[in-house]
Amino acid sequence: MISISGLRLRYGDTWALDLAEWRVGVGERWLLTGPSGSGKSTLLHVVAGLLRPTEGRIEVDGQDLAGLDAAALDRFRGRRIGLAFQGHHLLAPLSVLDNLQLAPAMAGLPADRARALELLRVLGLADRAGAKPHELSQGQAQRVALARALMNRPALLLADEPTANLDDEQALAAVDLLAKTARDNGATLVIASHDGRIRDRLDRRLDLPGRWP
Amino acid sequence: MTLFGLMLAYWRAKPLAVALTLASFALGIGTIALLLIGAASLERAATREAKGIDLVVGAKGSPFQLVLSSVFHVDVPTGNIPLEEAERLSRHPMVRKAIPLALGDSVDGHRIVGTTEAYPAHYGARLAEGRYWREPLEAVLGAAVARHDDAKVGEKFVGAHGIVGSGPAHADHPYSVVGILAPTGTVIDRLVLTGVESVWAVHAEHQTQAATPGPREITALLIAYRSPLAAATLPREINTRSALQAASPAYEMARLFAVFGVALDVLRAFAGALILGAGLGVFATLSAALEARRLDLAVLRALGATRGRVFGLVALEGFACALIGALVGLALAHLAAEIVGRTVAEGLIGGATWVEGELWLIALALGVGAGAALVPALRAYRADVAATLAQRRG
Repeated sequence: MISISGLRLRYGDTWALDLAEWRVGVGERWLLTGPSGSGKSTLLHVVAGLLRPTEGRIEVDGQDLAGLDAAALDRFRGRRIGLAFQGHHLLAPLSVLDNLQLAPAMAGLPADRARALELLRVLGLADRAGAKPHELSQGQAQRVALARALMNRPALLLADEPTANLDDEQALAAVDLLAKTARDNGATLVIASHDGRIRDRLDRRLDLPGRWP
Repeated sequence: MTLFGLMLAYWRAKPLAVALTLASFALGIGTIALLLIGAASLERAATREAKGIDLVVGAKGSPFQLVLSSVFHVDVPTGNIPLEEAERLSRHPMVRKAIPLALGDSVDGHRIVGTTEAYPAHYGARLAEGRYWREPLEAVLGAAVARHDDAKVGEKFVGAHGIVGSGPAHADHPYSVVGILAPTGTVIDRLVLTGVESVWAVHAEHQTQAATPGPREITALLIAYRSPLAAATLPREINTRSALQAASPAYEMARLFAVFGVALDVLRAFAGALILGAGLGVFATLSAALEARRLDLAVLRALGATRGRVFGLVALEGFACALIGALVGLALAHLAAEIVGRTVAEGLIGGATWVEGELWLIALALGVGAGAALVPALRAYRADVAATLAQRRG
């Protein structure tokens, strides 16, 4: 699903990422760990095509990302990669249902209201479809963000710090939900987190060093 | 969820800011549109009223005043002219048609015009009911006069001295309404027509009281040339060789609109500044909205929206503000024109008047809106999505 070799990313004079090799198989569930500033989020952004690496080669779902122009890369991300953010990042003026329907609309896919309602049902949010984000609890907002990330049936699900600001019980439940939902939807899962509580919750783990040479 | 739907959702979340931006656009566009409609209406009315009248002959004085009083019936006459001279001029070989007008009285602010049936015929008027006058003190009402006073054939009214009806009433000379004209959309609608003899009869008292009753007089003569060549000689002949004054409605109107045009240009510049202000408002609104929505736009990009799509979303807002503001402005301008037409300038201006310049106004508004949206849209286009998402974590 993900194949990285010789990946390096530099911000000005500083190397933000240096990864010689990383391979993620289809259906695997990975945890990216490392201290703050180690580049976990940066690596997720590179895999999602939001950042272009300075050097190296990266393939996602069999597609060499360097071979795509900016617009094609955006479309590829929208259709093949689901992103769940730490702060959930739901659009405040839109209802829960509209937030979900935003995903196919932005990726240039046909509207799929039935899919949105089904995801909300599965995630226990069927009665919150018309609610605005500010009317949701933190746990509910996080599940809505997860549903949005899954709307376009992505092959790869990327989650950035999904357990931040959650208590122990909620944190483990959130990771279990991500793992189960990814499996149920046939998606490969990569979670970036420095949360020690979920260290052993996933199949595979990549530890990023705190400082790059 | 289309870009338009997303834009509307944002607008619903900030209704006051959006309403103010739309209002500023509507104000600028509406002001210019009202000026355009007003100018076009006046020009059309002037052309319509003066159509077929090559020359107005009256007493010496201001030629502009003579045209205003005798063609448009909006000013006091320059005086009277002897009937004998007017009749002699009517028989001039260069004159095809000469219509006498005798002014001086009014009823409820509507002028009473002593004339012949050639006058309503000149404007294509036809009787809606009744007949034309046959005897002195029989009158035919224009359509607007009849509607305004709810007058009927057979009723009587008394004229007052003076063209605004503020003078003493001629109570001993009541007029009988014998006919009502169908609407023509011309000055005729706002007049009360009667024979010249009626005006003489009403004012005969003043004549008999004078020590030596003078010759009979009329106020003006509307003339149509037999040939365009007459324009070169006849006015000069009248102005230099007689006690009369000849004024060309076309020339006087051209002079008026030249002066009017300068005032219009000043007002247009003012309204243009309003539109520019509206553009700055859009710029400020969109810039503030962009700052508030940086994260939202980054999320849209993360969900697969291309840079062009995000650019389009921001540009669409500027465009939509301008378009809706312009359409609201145009609608308000037509509404205002209709109200002005119905209350103070009946027959001169109306909401149904469309001016070609209005399309240019929409184009202008869209240009300003697009220009104002360009910088915020470009900033959205160039935004660093990864950096924005990274900054807003937690």
